[in-house]
Amino acid sequence: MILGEPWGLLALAAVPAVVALHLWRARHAPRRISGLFLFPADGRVLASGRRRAPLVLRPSFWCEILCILAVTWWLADLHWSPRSAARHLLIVLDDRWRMQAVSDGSSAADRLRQALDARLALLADGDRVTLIASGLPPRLFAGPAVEPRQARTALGTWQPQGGWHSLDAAITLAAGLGGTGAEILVTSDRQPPRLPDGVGVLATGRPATTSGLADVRWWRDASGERIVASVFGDSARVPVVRVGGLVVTGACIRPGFHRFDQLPPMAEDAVAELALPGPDALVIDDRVELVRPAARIVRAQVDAAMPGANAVQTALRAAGARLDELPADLAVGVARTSGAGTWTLRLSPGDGTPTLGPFTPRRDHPLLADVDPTGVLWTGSAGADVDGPLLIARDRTLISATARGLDQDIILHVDLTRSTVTRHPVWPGVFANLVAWRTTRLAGLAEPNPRCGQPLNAMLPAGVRVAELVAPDGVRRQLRPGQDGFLAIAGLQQPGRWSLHWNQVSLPISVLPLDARQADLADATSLETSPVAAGRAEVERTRSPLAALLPLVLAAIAACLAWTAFNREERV
Amino acid sequence: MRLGRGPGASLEFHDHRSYAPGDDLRHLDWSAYARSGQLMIRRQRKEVSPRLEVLLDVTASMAITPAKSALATALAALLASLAEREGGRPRLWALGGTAVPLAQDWRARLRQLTCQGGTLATANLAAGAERILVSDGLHAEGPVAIIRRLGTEAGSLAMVQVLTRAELDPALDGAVRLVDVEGGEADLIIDAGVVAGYRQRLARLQDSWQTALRGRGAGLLTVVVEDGLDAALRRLVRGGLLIASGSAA
Repeated sequence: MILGEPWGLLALAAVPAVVALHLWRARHAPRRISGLFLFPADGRVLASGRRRAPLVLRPSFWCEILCILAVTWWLADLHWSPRSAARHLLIVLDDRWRMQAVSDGSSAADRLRQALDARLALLADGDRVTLIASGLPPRLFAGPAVEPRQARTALGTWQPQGGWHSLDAAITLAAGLGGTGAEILVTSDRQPPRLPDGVGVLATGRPATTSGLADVRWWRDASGERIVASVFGDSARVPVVRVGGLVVTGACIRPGFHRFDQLPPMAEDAVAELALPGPDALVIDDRVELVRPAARIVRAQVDAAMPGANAVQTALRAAGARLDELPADLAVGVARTSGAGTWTLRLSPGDGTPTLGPFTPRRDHPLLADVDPTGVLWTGSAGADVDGPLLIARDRTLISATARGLDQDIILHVDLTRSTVTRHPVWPGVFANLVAWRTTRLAGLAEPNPRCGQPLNAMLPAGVRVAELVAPDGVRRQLRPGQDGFLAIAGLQQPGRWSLHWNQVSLPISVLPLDARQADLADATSLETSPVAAGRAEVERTRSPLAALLPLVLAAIAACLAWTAFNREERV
Repeated sequence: MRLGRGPGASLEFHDHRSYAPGDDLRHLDWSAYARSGQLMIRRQRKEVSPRLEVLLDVTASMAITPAKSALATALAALLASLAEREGGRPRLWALGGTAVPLAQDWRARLRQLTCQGGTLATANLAAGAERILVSDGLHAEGPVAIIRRLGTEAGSLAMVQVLTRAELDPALDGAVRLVDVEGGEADLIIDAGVVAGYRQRLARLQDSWQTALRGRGAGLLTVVVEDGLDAALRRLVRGGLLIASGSAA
């Protein structure tokens, strides 16, 4: 015997309550008689107050117990088996947006919806259907194991709009949910590859040629703002960009690539619409909306009195940093309070002997990317026991970096008065890397306009331990950054306007429905192969309306009988 | 006038008895003396002019059910009517908290009676009258006291006990509050033992009535309300209170 809702057994607590009521309730119902003196005095009890009386099992008592049991049955969902046998059809819906491709006035999704509706209409009421929308991860769209009419209702609301993904996860989920005896039908706009045996296919695609946007980026850096778009397929289609209703002039920098530099003055929360005019089978990737990226420019503060300050300022300025703007993101030679996400750069003359190498850099570190110090006369260095060495020569440390939470402490162990490093390409290279590295660690989003499925990185300010990501459909998800404030967001699969929140800050994210793989409709086709019918499968038991109603009806009847019997027993 | 049961001065022969000094010699049966050689006094039946007094109990217990009061009233009316038909002079009393004589229009007065009170009042009854008490006999003061008050100087005294079946055999169970219509109440847990005790006490009460009425006439005749008037009349005939031919006692 199975209890669907074990907490419903709490209703049985009413049984001792009823027994207690029958034991202690004032049951001395008045009876009119004419010979009180004939009744023996030893059977009499006190005439006031409640008292315990022998339990008399009258009809009202049994009816009340029956009522309690019926209510318990209903609340606890008492049944014999958790599963029942039924024909179970699991349908994997291809939820990629290419199912929206229109041909002859109808989309593949429309044709699939009609075909499935007709197929589901043929199922008996006792059959069960599970709809699984593919994706990363796949999700149950209806079910598991709902009645066909419920599946048809859910199917009417299905709109494929997912990014690129494989159907394998959804098929695996269907096989796991269905178990033995279930039928699996995979839907798509073409023949899916590598299907397990016995799995049916319903494809409603039609081959077509299409073109669209492959990628769009909005750049905003020290050199200004620009939008760059790439178009695949028909390169004759030229995108049109509008910012605040104004058309932006662009240029084709090479076939399929367009650049829009002449952006008008706009607010920080401005958006740009980019559209490819002209007819197309798949229109979802012909129009995108971009949010304006935040200015991610490093502000540096340099101690003008320190040796080599001019060389540092020159290198920072060349790397795109803005000098002497507060609050500074990078302090050079200036003491800062630690623990607030401060980055410091210090020049330490050291006491080491001059060296021409050989130099051993940490190639994987962003500060030394594409930096080759060969040829530099490096004077001034620290011992080998310095924390976080990045560039060493023999047993001497030349550059080191130490991270403490969000703080970063970088030391150049060099004596600029005797070293040739400032006259070598390694000097601007290191500072360019430093500014680029610091830029990636500025609070905010690295790319507010990711393509569907593209991973997203964000940095949260010091002290922020949780952020909230809000999907276009309003679903909220809380995210926790690492110790360094770095927040890695897996590829967002739902196109549209997302947002990332922390404290009072709200950053918009526009996930672009761009993926050239989905625009390939050359292999689209229509076909239908039925799944192998393996008999009846075990499905999760569902509570039928009749089964839910029966105990309630029984409880109501028992309650009425109890009331009638009670009145009859209490009648004078 | 009609013949009484005892010896008297009518022309109807009653019986013989041995002569005793002082007997009126005119009553010597010489024929009997010739046959037996014994001096025998011939006794004639008494010639009486009977007076029937029907004492109807109108305490509250008589109205415990409408059928009970109806049957009691019907029996009282029937007894009085039969007495009238036989040339008697019936007199009805309604005995409740007070004793109310019902005059010539007793039929109308009977229909207007209300049952109330709990004790049987003492009535100013006629000496030598034959009295029939129609009551349930459920009075805590006991039969002896009642008979002493109502049976004084009575020619005879019989009692028709009118009881409902519930009074004979209470079908009660469990905890009940017994409310006596004549006053008093008590909470009881009633089970088979209590019911058996009730039956014993009722039987003892009826024995007490029978003992108190012994030698005064027909004694105690119990009728059951639910059995109806016909069954009640058959009980009165069987008990000798009525004669099947229709003559009143």
